Amino acid sequence: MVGHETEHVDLDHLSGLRELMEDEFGLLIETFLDDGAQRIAELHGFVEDADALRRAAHALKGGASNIGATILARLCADLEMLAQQDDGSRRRPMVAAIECEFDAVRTALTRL
Amino acid sequence: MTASIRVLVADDNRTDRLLLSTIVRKEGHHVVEAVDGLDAIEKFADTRPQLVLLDALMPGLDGFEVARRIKVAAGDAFVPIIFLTSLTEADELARCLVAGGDDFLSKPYNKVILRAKMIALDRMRQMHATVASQRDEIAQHHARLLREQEAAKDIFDSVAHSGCLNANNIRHLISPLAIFNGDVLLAARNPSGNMFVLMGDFTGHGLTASIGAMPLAEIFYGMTQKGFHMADVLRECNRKLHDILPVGYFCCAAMADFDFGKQTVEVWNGGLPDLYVMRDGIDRLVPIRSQHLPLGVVGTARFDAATQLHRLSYGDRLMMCTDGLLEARDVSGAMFGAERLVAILSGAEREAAFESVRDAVYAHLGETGREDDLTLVEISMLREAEIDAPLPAYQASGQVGPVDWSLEYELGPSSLRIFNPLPLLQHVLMEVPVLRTRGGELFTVLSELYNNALDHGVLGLDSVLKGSASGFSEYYRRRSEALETLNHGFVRFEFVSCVAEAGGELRIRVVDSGAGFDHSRYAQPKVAAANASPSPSLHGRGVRLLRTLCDSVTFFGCGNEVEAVFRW
Repeated sequence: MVGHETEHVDLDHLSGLRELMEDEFGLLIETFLDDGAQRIAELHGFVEDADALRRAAHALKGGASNIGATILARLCADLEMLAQQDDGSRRRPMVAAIECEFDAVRTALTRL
Repeated sequence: MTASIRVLVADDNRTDRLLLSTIVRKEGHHVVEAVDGLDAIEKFADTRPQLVLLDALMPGLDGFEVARRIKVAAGDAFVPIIFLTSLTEADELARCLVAGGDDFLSKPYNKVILRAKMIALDRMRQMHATVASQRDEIAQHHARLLREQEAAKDIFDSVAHSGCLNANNIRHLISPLAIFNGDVLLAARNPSGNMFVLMGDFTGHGLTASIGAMPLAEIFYGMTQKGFHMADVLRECNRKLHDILPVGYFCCAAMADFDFGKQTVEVWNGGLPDLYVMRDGIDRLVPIRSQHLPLGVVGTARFDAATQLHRLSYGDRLMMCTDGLLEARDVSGAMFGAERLVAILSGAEREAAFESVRDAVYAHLGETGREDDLTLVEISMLREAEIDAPLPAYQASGQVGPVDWSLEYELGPSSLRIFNPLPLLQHVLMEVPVLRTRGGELFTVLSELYNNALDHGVLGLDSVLKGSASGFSEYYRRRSEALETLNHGFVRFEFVSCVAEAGGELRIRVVDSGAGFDHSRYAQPKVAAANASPSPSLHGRGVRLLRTLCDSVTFFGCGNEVEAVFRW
């Protein structure tokens, strides 16, 4: 069924991962979700520190793209660029958007 | 990629690290994980992986710095580093490669691409390892080659430049590196006291050019010591070199036979630049052109050992050089040249000629420092007694030899034309231990007796001709002619030796088929050695000489039979 969840995570990519990871597929998803939650917390915490914010966004971006969460990855990329331009005003909304997308990804992944 | 390797995966992100490690393990390789830069450096040193997958952006130590340190730790070995990065950072990607990364892998990780990159980089790693081991092998070979060349040079020097080059009538110039320019200079005295000198210039350069010098020197020294004629030595040298040298390799050479008693020099030039006879007065400088092919080019049948004979007064000299001297170039590239050499020799006094040439060529070479291809020799005609080079010592078979023995040896016309029996007969005599110390005298006696028997007896030549310079060449011309057309006659040697209480005696009788001569005036008792003056031209039958060397010399019959006796 084509639902909202399918846009948040690339199902083809995921099935490739499932084939690759075999028994450890679950571990991979779990690791991502754990890591991800940590990164989200960091984003909130580092919103004033441009460098740290950028690095946290970069790290989450990598994991997101590896898991196939393309929208999340794109949002993180945007924040990464934004953080460098040192425009403090748009950071918080960005971080909020990222957190929102992460929740959607988490929902999609736990439904698998 | 068939072999499994050890891969270091360094990424601070747990998800990425887990994913990548799984991909790599599934390819059949062993994985070592590191969580940050410092951990990566430590794990690298501990496990020495063959490949490193390194996150470019890690907290703490910069990914690029980690890469630099890993490359240093890897030393000589090639350990490929693949940076893990996100595609958007173009500048970062460039930095990856500049910093020492060999490739990069973007996220999301694609196992097909990763496998392809690993194969490609492992291929590079293997190639690098091959090149490194080949380089080490080459270095080893090179070191060994140098050692071998040193050893070869020692052997070469002792073989190719020994003999009597340090005699007081020889001055010479030869490079210590002659082994690499193929030049050879040999000098030795034969049992009669003659001095043979051979100069050779082998084609090519390096060890291969000089290797022919070994057999050449062996033949030269061996045959000279045994009393062979110069032509025989040349023939045998040519035969040997023709046999062993490959096509296109040969030895330009010249040889000289100095007879200090007769004051003659016999020369042969096959391929060397002009030799020069230097005298006082008229006919000061006489060039002796090369009229033969170098040694080793043709086989024995076509080899021409014909020599030229020149008379020299005491103080006259012969000079020989290889083309290295004529082709010596100065800083501007101009060659020394034959014209310059002739000018120097024409202008200099005999005694100063050698130094003049040597100084001139060094001056010509000047700053170039290329003095390694100069080979020059000057041999002077001195009185026999003034020569300080010793006669050959005999290495005969053993301490035990025949004591009571006899030998009859006869040569007919065909043999007389082409064969020199003296070395063989000398060898027979040298098998008698007690005669070895008198080898020189014995050989001289054999030579005199044989030459008399052949020239004056069988060929019927008159020795009077040898008195004048022009008569000299006429004499040898007639001798060649007579020898060529000889079809009858003989020379017979009869040796009888026996032992007495306190010593022994050797009787040598030589009989020839000639008409003999009036020997009545020679029926004298032995002339005391102190009274005997060596005849300056020795164109007679050399009876005085024979009498100083033997205990008695007696003629029989019509003068075609002579007996020389040695006692000890």
